[in-house]
Amino acid sequence: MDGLIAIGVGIAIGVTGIGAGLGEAAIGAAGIGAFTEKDELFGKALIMTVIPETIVVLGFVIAIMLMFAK
Amino acid sequence: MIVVLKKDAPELVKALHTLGTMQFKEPTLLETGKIRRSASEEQAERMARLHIKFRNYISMLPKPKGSETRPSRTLNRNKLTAEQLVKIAEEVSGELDRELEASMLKDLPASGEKGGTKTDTLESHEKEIISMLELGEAEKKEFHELFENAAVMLKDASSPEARKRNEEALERISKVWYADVAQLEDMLRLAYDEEGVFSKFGETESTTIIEGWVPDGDFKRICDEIRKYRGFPIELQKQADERAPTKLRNIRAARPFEELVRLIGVPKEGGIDPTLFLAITFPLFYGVMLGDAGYGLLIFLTCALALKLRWVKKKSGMGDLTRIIMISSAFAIVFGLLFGEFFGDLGQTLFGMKPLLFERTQNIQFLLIVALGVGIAHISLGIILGFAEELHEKGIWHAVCSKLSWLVIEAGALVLVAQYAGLFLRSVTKIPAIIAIVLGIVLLITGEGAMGILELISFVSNVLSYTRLVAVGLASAYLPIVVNQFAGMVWGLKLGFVPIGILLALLIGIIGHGTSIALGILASFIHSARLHYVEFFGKFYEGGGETYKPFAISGRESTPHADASSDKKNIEDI
Repeated sequence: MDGLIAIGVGIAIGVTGIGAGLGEAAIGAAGIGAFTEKDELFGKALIMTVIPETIVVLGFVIAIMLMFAK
Repeated sequence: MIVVLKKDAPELVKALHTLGTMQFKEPTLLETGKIRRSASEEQAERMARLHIKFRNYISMLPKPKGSETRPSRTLNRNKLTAEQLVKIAEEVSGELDRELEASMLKDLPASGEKGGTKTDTLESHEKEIISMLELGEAEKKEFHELFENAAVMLKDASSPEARKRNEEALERISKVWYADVAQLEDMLRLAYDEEGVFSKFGETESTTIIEGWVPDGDFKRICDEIRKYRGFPIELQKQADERAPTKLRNIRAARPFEELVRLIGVPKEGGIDPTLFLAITFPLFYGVMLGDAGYGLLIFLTCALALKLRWVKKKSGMGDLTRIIMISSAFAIVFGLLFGEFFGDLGQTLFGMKPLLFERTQNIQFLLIVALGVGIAHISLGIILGFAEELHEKGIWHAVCSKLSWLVIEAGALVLVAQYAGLFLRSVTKIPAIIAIVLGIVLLITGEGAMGILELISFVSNVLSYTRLVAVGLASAYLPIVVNQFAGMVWGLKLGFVPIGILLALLIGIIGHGTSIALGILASFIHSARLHYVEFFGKFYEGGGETYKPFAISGRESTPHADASSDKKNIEDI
C-alpha cells in the first residue's frame, strides 16, 4: 500500500476520532449530570452520548475506500 | 376506585401488598376537596424509628454460623395489626438493648487505664457544655445520648482484648437473637411501607378511598380480594387524558430484552412493543461484531455461572442484562465458528481451525456491502412498523405520506442502483423506477413539508451507520491477532534453562485477551444497542410511557414514600 494512502487513512480515522471525542465529551458530562439526579434518564443519556460515533464510522468508510482504491 | 370502611383499610392494604399487582395513584376526587388525604403520621414515625433501629441491629450482629436458627415465635404478618407489631418490636428491642448494654460495658477497662481517661474527659466535657448552654430537659437528654454514643465508640476503640471480648459477646447474643431480629426487621419494613402508602389515599369521615391501576388479567382477582375485606370496588373508567402505566408482556425467551426497552422508556398506550424485534436482531448484531467462538464461550459460561451462583439476582435489571449477554454470546459463538476465530488466530495455529464461511479480515468489501444491505433491511422493517403505528394513530393518508413514501423511494432507488451495477438487463425498468422515486419524494413533501428533503439525507446517514457492524467486527477480529503476535514473539525466550518465555507469553495472553474481551463486550453491546435505539426505533418508536410499578413485596428496598406533610398543609387550608 502506498505511503500516502496510509497517511490518508490515518488522518481519516484520527481526525474523525478527535471530532467525535470532542463532541461526546460535553454530551457525556451533561448526561452523567442528568442521570445522577433522575435514574430513568440513563438510557437516553447513553444514547445521546454515543450519537456522534456516526462521524467515526463515516471516516472508517472513507478509510476502507482509500485502502482498496485501484 | 375502592371504597372501604376506615377500620378495614389496613387489612385490605396488607392483602393488596401481598398480591402485589396494583399500582396506586392519587384519587381524582381529591381535587374537588371532598376527600381529605389520609394521614397517620405518628404511627408511621414510630414504625420508621423502630425499623431503623432493627436495621442497625442487623448490621451490628454477626450472622450466626452454621444452620439457620429459628425465631422464638413465628409471627404471621396477616394476623398482626400495626399496633401489635409495634408493641412486640418495642418489647424485643428493649430486651435486646438491655442485654447489649450489660454484656458490652462489663468487659471494658476501668477508668485509669488508657481507655478510661478518654471517657472521663468526655464526661467532663459533656458537663461543661451543658452548663454553658443552659439547655432544657429534653435537649439535655439528647445531648446525653450523643455523648453516650461517642463514649461507646471510644470504648470500642480501646484495647484489643476488650474488642475481642465484645465480639464474642456479640456472637453469643446473635446466636439467640438474630432470627427474631431478622424476622421483625422484615415485618417492620413491610408494615412501614403499608403505613406510608396511606398518603396516597383519600378519606371521608368513615371510609377510605383507594385508587389505582391493575393489569387486565388480574382485575377479577383483585375485585374478589377486595370484597373479602368488606370493601366495595367501584369500577371507574379511565379518563380520556389519563395514561395508565405500561406493563410489557412477552414470551419467556424475549423477556430479558424488556430491560432494554425499559432503559429508553416503555411505550405508552397503543404503542408497538418492540421487544420481540429486539430479541431477534440484537443478539445477531452483537454476535456479528464480537464474532469470536472462544470469547463467546467464555462469556457464556461466566454469565451462566453468575446466574446459577446468584452473583446477580435473577429478577433484577442486572440479571436481565446478564441474560441478554448470555443469549448474545451464544450467537457470537456461532459467528465465531463461521469466521474461524477462536481467540483470534489461536484456533488456527493450535488445532488447524478453518472458517466455515470465510475469514473476516480477507473479505472486507463484501462484508461492507452485506452490512449496508442489513441496514436497508432493518430500517425498512422499522418503516413498516412506523407505517402500522401511524395507521393506527393518524389514519391512512398520513401513514402513506410519511412512511410509505420512504418505501417507494427505496424501491425506486434500489432498482436504479441494480441497473447501474449491471444486475438488471432491461432498461425498461428505468422509467418506472424514476417515476417511483419522484412519486415518493412528492408524497414525502406533502406529508412532512419541506423538511422531508432533509430526512432523505438522514436516511442515507442511517444506512451508513450500519457499516459499524463491519468496523467494530474488524476491530474485534484484529485485536486478538495482535495479542497472539506479541505472545508469539516472547514464546522462545529462555533464561539459562528456565523457559520464562512461556510464562511471559501466558501473562501477555491473559492480560491482552482479557482487555480484548472487555472491549469486545462493551463495544458490541453499545453499538448494537445504539443501532436499535437510534436507527431502528427512530423510524417508529415513541416511548413516553410510565413503567408499571405495583405496590408489591420486592427484594430489600422499601417503596419510596410520598412526601405527605407538605401536601397536607395545602389541603387543610381549603
